Amino acid sequence: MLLPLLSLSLLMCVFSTGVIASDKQSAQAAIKKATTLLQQSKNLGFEWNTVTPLILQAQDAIKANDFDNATQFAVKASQQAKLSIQQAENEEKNWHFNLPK
Amino acid sequence: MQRLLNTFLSLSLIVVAIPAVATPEQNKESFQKFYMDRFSHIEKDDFANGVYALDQDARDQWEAMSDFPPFEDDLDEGEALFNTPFANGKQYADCFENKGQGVRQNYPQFDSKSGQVITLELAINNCRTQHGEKALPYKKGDLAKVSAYMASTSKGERFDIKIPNDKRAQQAYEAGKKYYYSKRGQLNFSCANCHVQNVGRKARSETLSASLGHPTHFPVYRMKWESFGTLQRRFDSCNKQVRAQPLEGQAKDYRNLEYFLTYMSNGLPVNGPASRK
Amino acid sequence: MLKKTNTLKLLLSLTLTTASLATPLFAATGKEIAFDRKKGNCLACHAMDDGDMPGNIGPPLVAMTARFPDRAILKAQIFDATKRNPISIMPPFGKHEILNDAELEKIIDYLYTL
Ligand code: HEC
Ligand code: HEC
Repeated sequence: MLLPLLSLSLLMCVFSTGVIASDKQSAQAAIKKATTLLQQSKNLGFEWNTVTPLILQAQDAIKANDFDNATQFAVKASQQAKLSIQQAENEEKNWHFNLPK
Repeated sequence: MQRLLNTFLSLSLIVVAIPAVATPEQNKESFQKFYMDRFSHIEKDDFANGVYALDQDARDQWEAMSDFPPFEDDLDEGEALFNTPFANGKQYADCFENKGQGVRQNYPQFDSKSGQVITLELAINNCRTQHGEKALPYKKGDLAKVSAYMASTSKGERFDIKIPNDKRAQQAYEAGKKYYYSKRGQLNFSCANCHVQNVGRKARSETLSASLGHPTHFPVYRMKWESFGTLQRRFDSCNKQVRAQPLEGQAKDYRNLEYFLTYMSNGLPVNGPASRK
Repeated sequence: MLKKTNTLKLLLSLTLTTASLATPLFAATGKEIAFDRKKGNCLACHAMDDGDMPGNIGPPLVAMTARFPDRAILKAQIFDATKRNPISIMPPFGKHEILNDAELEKIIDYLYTL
């Protein structure tokens, strides 16, 4: 009874991309990456206020030994920090379109 | 099709590139003209009343409230603080031209010694530290009260922000302008998206005010805050609305933004402090 | 045996992750997401349906089926309006992860009832 369930879950692991079980080290690395990207977007003057809360949630999850969730929050934080950096690059080109005509 | 698009894009680039190299004076002229054309029935000075210049219903409520301004006590405190000597016997009046009376319209200033934009609040704190007092927290509290008192002594004076012939001053102005026109935050808005492009329209039930006149009545006593807040505190509110991280008080970007925004209102009267919802 | 418990743990954590990050127990409807100030907040700018005190920054959202026969075009407008118009004030709901894909699809289903 347990066996098919187990193999199913193994299969799920193999095929589901994002959801790979993480350990403490990889979760911490993911947070570090998010923090670096956040600093980059802050330096550009385009920090979103959604990113720090995600990093804090990731850190809380690490404290609760929930490394999968920690990683997911950190990855989401990285993704949003990247989007804000991309926004800075776009605006470098586009800001003057907003001048009154 | 692609080529057509490219030509169109580069053409429009040329067209909009012109204001980008315009002088601050030309920027200011077209900025003010934009609003005066859009609202040709409104007297220029009335833009100093912010959203109440554009929304009569809101204005009626506001005027009813102005009979008993909610900030009288805080303003009195500001005056008392202003006149209280520091431990070394000096006072605020010693740090400002004309003893600090009627100077609001000259801030922010560009200080060629430090190469920085100096807002009125920064000047107040500089005065304190120069005389051995601790700097006060920016954006609200006693600093905003002192600033409100100083504004009240300047009522009716006309804004006269100067951009000296100094490369660093022009850079500070340009940086503030770029901040104002750049989209930021997860929701991707520039200040101009709301206060230029959609001025007078409604976001839910709130009418969007013109940026012409934005700085004239600060510090503002907001019912929502139940206290005075400086212009930079209001920047925070708008940044949070678009999910951008607010900056520290007197951060360089904020000072440059304030420099640009106040320059755009040159010629309008000081009418602070005022109350807002 | 060791392997088995590990796999079990994995399975457990998998279900836990889905439970904590994916759709909440009581899934919101497309209309709720569209009206929610913290989610779509479409009413800030568009009159639509029976929404209270709508803004007037964007056009009223009416007759959607007739005007947007192509679902992909409708989705593109909501996913990233700045792609078509770089100074559009409409937030790029999909691109900036303001709403997830499931939420976008639900809103679009709802729009097609208008
Ligand atoms: C999403 C739209 C939006 C954006 C973007 C936005 N604001 Fe605002 N802002 C508002 C609303 C709404 C109010 C309150 C009503 C009013 O006065 O317009 C307001 C009020 C203000 C006020 C106070 C006006 C007064 O009379 O007290 C200032 C100053 C201001 N905004 C400056 C800015 C600056 C600078 C930016 C860019 C950093 C900005 N806003 C971005 C919507 C916006
Ligand atoms: C801040 C204002 C704003 C918000 C919030 C907003 N929109 Fe828009 N929307 C606009 C504007 C302005 C346009 C006009 C086209 C453009 O500029 O992209 C528009 C256009 C549209 C169109 C095309 C309409 C047509 O008739 O061509 C659709 C569909 C639409 N929005 C859906 C939505 C949905 C769904 C939401 C909520 C999830 C939403 N919008 C939130 C401002 C907004």
